[in-house]
Amino acid sequence: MSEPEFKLPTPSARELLWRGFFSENPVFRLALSLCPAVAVTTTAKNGLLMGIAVLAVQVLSSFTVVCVRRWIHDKVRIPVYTIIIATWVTVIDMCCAALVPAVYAEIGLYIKLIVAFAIIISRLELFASQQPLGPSLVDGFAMGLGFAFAMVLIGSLREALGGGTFWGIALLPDRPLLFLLLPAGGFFTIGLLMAAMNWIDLWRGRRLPGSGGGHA
Amino acid sequence: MPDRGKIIDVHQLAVPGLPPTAPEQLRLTTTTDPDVPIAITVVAPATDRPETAVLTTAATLDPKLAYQLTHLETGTQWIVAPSLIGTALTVLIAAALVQNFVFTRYLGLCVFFGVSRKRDTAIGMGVTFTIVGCLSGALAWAIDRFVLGRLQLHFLQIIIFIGIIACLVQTVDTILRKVHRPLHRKFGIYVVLITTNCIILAVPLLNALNQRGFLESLALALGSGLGFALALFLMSCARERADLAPVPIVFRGLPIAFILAGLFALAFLGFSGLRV
Amino acid sequence: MTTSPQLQIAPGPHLTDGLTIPKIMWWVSASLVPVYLWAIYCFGLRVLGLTLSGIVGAALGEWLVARLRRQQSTLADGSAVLSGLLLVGTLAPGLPLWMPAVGGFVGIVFGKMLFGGLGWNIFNPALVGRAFLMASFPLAMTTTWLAPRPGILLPPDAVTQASPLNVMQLEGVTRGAELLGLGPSYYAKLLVGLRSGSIGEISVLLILFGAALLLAKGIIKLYIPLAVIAGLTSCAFFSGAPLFHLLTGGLWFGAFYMATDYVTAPIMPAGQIVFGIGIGLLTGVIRLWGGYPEGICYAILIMNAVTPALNHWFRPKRPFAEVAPS
Repeated sequence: MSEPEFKLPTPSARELLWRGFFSENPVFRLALSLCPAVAVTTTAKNGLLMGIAVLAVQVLSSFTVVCVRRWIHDKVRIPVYTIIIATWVTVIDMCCAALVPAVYAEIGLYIKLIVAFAIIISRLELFASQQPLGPSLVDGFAMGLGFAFAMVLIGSLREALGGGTFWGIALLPDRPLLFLLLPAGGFFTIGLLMAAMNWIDLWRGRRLPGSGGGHA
Repeated sequence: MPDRGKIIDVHQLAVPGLPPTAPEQLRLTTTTDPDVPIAITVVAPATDRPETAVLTTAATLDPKLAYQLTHLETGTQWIVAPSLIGTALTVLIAAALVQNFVFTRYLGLCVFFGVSRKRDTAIGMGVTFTIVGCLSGALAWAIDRFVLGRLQLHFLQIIIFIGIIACLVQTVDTILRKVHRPLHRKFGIYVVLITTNCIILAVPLLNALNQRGFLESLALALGSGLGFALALFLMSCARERADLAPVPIVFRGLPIAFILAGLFALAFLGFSGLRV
Repeated sequence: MTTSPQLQIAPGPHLTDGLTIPKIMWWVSASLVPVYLWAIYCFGLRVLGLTLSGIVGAALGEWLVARLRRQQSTLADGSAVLSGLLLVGTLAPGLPLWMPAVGGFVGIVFGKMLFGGLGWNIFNPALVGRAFLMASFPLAMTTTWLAPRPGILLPPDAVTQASPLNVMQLEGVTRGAELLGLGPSYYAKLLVGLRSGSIGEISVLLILFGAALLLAKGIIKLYIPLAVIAGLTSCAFFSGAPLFHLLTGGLWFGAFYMATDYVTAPIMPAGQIVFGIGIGLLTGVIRLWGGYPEGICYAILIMNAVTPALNHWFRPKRPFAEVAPS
């Protein structure tokens, strides 16, 4: 995470949204914030709540950073960003516990762990610390939305095929592929979706990203 | 030193060295709540062990709690508690294998996929993480118990724990740099990366949630570290092989790593339900 | 430089004998025929249906992936057929007929073809298929054991019966043997294979016959099977009935046919011995203290995961060939 020497041009809102959803999707492309992507996506509802929580933390942290960045000394910015994120996570954690206790009971630990997600701090470092307020909010929003989209997609697939339900409503008579609800099934689903995205790229005539591993 | 009894069923308790006694002459309580007696309905000699009595209680007993039994006439006391080492060992093995943090709890995946491409980096990360994880687990336990608990500040857990971890990582990095230069050159990079591994934050959170004692907390930290290191090492060996393989083009890189992790998780299912 | 048609360039090692991949695969498949015939004799014609279903599923997976990748299909080397066959050997005879096909397909596609096909897989495809079925349909996989009713062309209404390992876990050896109707000479019956169990595992004698054939042809070596048996024996002493542990469950089938897979087992004998002992010990641990009655499938999968590491630790010290200094 090194500070770029030059000031990046500010991308348009449309470009930012496209990046968040597809070309730089935090789950499928950047391979960041994977823990909840496998852990809570056994149902679409859990996935959505997790997505909203991350979206909220991302946007609020971006907002805070843009507001206070002129007083943050460069050398201590990472600890300060961490504290800002931790504060917002605490707030969101309490909101979730109060508003949706049933879902929170299942995924509470992972909401707390949003603190350690590299995606949020990397957006703060790469974008919100340099760009004006408007685009920073759009960027945070796009990344959060892209994450939420990935979570709901994985959650719906696993819930429908693994549990035979969607949003808690029975679709199929039985649990067709219990396997998908297990850890192994979660890994398989994400692997297949990543491959599908690569295939879409290939089909659109783009060069495939190298066999890059995840970012730490 | 009082004798130790053993919980053998949800309603039954085996107590060695207890002669046949009327239930009224015994008083059973939990050690944390010595004023609330638990009703004993039957006292019978054990069939399979000599000089042992089996008590039957009306309420259900929790094998994780500690109970004390007092003979009202003689004043003899028995403690019925899970052995500390045994519980700690159970926690350790569960965290390392049965509920491996990577393959069944899906924690630390970013680092897992990020550094499992080469065997050497995997070993470095695994070793460093296990050591620092134990340190942070112990430190976070102490602060949670003696500071947050005393001051009723549990709601600040997330901020405090991430602060502890960040400070600890910085300290270890500095000490290592000053004390042992070559070691720092080899492992320094992994020390810095540890902050992004959610296992290191999950361990203190889980310990606080389950109100674990010191030994158990340390066992969870150690077990999670060892489990992570094992997963990382096996995965790196397999991935070095898969990197050479003629994998279909859309699966190269991360997708095949996920499929591989899925197969590992499938294999680790064999440990599920293991009674330690 | 012109390339002469007689010169071919290929990666080493260049040691060859007459055994080609298809020959090995078909020999292994052939050595299994008596085992499967015995299962058909005991459990009826549905075993034949299950076997075909497993083979078709596996072959379909192999063909489909090759087709999608626009590559020459490798069906003819017989490895997919063998994987399907081996998968069926680990299944209960009372399963629905479509299940082995699903297992075979998933095992071949995710266990083998996505890694680049034969030679590149890390896990045994047949066992991946079984583990997948076990995770997806736990009820069907653990409750559809049939009681053996020897006779040619059995009527289809066979009787369900628990697997010996399961009964033994719950009831103990003597009482378990009684419940299964094995009678006083139950060890003899277990040896011959007059018992409930997976399709490929029931007759220890016929498995040993097939294995002897493979040993005589030099297709398998004894390091791994002996190490597996030694590992499980040392663990089985804790159960009080080691002989029963050795004669029930999938030990022999797993040790001779699953663990010896060339691709997923270590290359050097020292590594193979560690690999085998690991399988045996893990099988015992899962059987005695684990959540499943039979552990050999998972034990082999776990040791498959360790194989790349074992290959690294036990590397050949001697080069395959030396070049004289010029």
